[in-house]
Amino acid sequence: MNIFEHNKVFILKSLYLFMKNSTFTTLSILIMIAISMVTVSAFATPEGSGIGAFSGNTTVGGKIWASDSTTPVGGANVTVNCNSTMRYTTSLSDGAYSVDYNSIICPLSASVTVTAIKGSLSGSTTATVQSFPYITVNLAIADVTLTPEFGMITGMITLFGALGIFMYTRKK
Amino acid sequence: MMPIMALLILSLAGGVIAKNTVVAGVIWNSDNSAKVPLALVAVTCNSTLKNTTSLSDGTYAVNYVESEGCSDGTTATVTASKGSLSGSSSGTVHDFGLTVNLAIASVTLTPEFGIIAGVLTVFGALGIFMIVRRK
Repeated sequence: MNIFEHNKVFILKSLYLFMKNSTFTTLSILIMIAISMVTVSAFATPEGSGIGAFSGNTTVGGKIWASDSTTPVGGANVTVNCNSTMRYTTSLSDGAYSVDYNSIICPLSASVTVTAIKGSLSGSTTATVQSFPYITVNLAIADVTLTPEFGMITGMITLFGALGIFMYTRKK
Repeated sequence: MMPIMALLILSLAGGVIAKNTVVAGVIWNSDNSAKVPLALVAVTCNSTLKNTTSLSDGTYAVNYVESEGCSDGTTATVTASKGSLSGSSSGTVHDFGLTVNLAIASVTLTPEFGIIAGVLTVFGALGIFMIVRRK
């Protein structure tokens, strides 16, 4: 439970007490907590050490690229696997994708495998969950480059091989 | 009166969740075959500059709080350098509906123009020298 959730539970408990007893003290406590939370948010450092720093999530993100490694691929089906827990998404028009895990499921140093498929193109890559200074979530960055699937490559080689043999035979 | 006050207090408490933006990516060598650690990375989003260094696996990430205006749709520009290699890239901040907004900008490092120009000059000079000598 993060600090914000903890405070929220405390507020609800206090609210219950207030409803029950209607004491001025309880009301004062509630107002003080609300004010302190707003103050913490307002004076959070630029690096985000405020309430958001306790999110406990792991974000896996990256971009899907074509085989030239320069053209982003939108609309690719992306499967993310962290500790056997899968997440599915689709890359945006600029190739970007992102999924979230609870850090209990996908903790620091876990290996993440990202597979992307679009039409006959596919690719896969792995990344490690890292912590970065001042970042409120753990991160794994995994860019995936799509290449023609093996079946496609085999098919092309077979086709060109057959054509080559045909031409060679005809010449003779 | 009491329910109104309770709602007011809860809305105050709930309204403080600010969504940060993370700009992250990988620093690659010139042919995208290897990740580059310890590259100097400069990220600019909504005119706010942040500096960091890529980790041992070539990844980097910087954080922007909501008040810095690096929000959904904003373009983040990333410049990276290591030794005589440098490169830049940009990425758009997306709100994926997750804990943080995210912009991915991976950078490929290539030899700086000065190096390329220098190498071309040297080889050009050598070529001219050889032609002159032959004649």
